[in-house]
Amino acid sequence: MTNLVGSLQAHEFAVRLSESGIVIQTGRFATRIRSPIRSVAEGLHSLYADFPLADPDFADFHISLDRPRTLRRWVRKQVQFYFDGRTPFKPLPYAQAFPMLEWGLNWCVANHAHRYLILHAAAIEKDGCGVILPAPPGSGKSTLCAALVTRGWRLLSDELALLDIDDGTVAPLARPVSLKNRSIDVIREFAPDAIIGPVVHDTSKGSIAHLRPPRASVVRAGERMVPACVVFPKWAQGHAAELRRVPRARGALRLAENAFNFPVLGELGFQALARMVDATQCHDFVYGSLEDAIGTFAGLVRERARDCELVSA
Amino acid sequence: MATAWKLAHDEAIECRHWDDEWVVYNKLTGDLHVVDARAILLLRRLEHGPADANDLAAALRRASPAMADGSMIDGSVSDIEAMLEAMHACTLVEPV
Repeated sequence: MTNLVGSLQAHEFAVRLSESGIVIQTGRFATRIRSPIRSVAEGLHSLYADFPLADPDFADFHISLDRPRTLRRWVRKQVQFYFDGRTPFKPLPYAQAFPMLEWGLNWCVANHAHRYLILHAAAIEKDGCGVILPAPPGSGKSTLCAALVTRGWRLLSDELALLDIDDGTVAPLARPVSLKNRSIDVIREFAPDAIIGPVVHDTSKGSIAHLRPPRASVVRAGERMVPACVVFPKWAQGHAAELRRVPRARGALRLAENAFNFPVLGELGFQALARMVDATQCHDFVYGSLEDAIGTFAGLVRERARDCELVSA
Repeated sequence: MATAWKLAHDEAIECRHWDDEWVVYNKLTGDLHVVDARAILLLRRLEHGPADANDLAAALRRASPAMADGSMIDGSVSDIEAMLEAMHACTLVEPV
């Protein structure tokens, strides 16, 4: 039987994390994490409770979060992110340890998983209707994604959509959803039962808190998704939900702009992107209310079901 | 004498067609460009060798009946020169 993070008592988990470290399986990636920092232990134990503990002898990424190993540690309390013993980032204030872990995990995938075209996008799915939500920061992508996954949509990723360059499927990487500033209270109100971690203030992105991913999404971490739609979301106060078709050539350009490793993959990246555009419809989506947005996305699922019925007939 | 143009590099572009627009992927720069059917016809013509704006205008006129929607492709020499300059800025073509 697979051990889950949440199957360990909080104290035991914190001790293991600070000593030998623990290996957590997120999607197809196993990450060894070591940290003596309490907020990291609490955040992992709470928000990753449903994730499996992987084989301790193998990990794709080896990371740790600790106080910097320099004189700086005596001047101001800070946290440093270590990747294979190296420090890819400048240290951050100690209170930002858990957000730094999340950013660091994203960095590991975005910089190393080049068998995928990695889109800065959320990826969700319901009843076989896979949707990619690419968007720049501030567009309301994570808020929309959080709202949808609290209403039965499956979370594949909030931040990094992994498009397999061989077969065009999206590989799941369901991890906590990063909520920023006003979105934190918006989701608390929208989904009162959702588990949201502590708010960390004054980060480079403002106030940050993380939503625990639905257990049903974590359990399905081995099931890939075939995208049916690309939706570019934009939140606008007071705006009625409106879905507008985007010409696919324009959609292709915007997808490329949101792909972290498009220049790294070169022609393979273009072919993967073109295959996805061939098989999907692209839309702009403006919304001012999460309830309206839920309704619009339910319409996408119905449309997809109708299309499938037509094909099978 | 009119300037002759050629592809910046042989086999350096890949094109895809969606709706009524084309996307050109420049393998050398990694850039994508949305272009219309006329630009694609110019690039296809230049794949066969260098040509100047007059040759290209003639090639567009010959290709016109082949347009799928039956529309005529129009291109004056000055239009084509402007298109070539724009494609030069995107490292798709260059003067010989």
